[in-house]
Amino acid sequence: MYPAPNAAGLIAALITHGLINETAKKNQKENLERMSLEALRPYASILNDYHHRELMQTALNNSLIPGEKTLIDHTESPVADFVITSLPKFFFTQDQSTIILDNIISVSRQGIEKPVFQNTIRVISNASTEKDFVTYWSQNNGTKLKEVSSNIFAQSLELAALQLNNAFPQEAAEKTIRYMQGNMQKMERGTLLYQGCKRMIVKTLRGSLMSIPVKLDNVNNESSKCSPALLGSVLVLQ
Amino acid sequence: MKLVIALLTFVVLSGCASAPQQPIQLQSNVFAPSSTRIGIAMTELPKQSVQLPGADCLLCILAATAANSGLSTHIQTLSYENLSDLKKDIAGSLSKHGVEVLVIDENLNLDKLKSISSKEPGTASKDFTIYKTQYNIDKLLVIDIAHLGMIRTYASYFPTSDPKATINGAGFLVNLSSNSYEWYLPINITKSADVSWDEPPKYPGLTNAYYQVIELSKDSFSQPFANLTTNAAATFDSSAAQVK
Repeated sequence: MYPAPNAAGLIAALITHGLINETAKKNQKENLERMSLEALRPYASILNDYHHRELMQTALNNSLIPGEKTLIDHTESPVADFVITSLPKFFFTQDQSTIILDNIISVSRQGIEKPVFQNTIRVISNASTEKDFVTYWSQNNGTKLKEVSSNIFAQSLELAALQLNNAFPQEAAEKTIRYMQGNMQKMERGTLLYQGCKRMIVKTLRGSLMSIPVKLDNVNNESSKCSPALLGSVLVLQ
Repeated sequence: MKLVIALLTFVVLSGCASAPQQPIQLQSNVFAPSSTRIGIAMTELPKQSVQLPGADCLLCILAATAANSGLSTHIQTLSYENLSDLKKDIAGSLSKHGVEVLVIDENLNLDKLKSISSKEPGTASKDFTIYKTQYNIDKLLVIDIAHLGMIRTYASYFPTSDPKATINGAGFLVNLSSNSYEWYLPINITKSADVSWDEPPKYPGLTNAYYQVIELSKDSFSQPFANLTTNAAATFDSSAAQVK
């Protein structure tokens, strides 16, 4: 309840409250951004030299998606029937043990204006157990950082292809799923599409996909336990 | 005269206010001796609702309720996600270590119990002793969920926050001989939607937060018994050895 003598006083109090809130939020956001930049500083030189072309080409070379795959710039004309457009964002967890990718993927077909597929796919890498994360990620010119980021990028493309091919069960029940993000337990409400020994694939309430590390209890509690490898199946874009 | 009225008001208001029950940590000896019978019950789960603190006038309440009607309608379609299984889960934890438990199927109605006003700290404000003979138990463990749903703060007609998922209540263990608490855990868990909240009609962000607060509350109520049973087992084993 705001202590206001009249309606004008109440509105003034509300505006003040709003301004104070917005200022506090802005300060908090700036603080978080400052902390994030500070955390990324040890990797700045590696990241400045690591361009999207290298990331994407490595991912395409290692991807399980069959067929010929050509990496083109967004200004170039498509050279195949299907064109996958990707807008990736990479994050580090606060403890720097884990890389997270949010990849907005759309698939277009030659001659069709509207994309045949569009979704956001999140892949959370397995948490590293190293003690010195800066050395772990940055040694040998960032070999591990580049390897993990290209692996999870490849995985996001594979998941897009699987969903496009309706490879996931259609009628799985909704549930609250616990998983690991870094060394923290997180939860997500969604549909469990696939349960592997170490990884699960979840469709969120918004319809996006997540590939997440298994929390050990989930493996023991799930009746299906480790399903046959889904990602080794043949993928044919039709 | 004004002083008398002020003093009287002070006395009346201070009598109305009572200190909330403070948390009491669960001790390893509450389940000893091994012949102690523990009843486990829950109160009826409340209907999911949107709390609107700060919308204090009648018109404010009507306006705020109308503004949040879509969200209110949606949360009533959401499940309780097996929250009522909590008593069986806790019973399972205790049974594994030889504690004699009775899961009471019917929901308790705390409002129907006689109120007790006692100055003794840690004394239950309701008279639970009737359950001692009713169920032939020595202690009663209760999980009471007071509110489940959403909360959105208001200043009269105007919202001052986004809606957030919330659950609040308390878990407690009452000694039915002394009517005193041997464990008391209040919970008040709130979670915001990720990204955005205002996505009618299904509000996926808030729905996600709703199910997360339910899971977090299950963890809060279960954890003391998962952690305790290892110590309790040692207590039982040593007391059993002494009896032998």
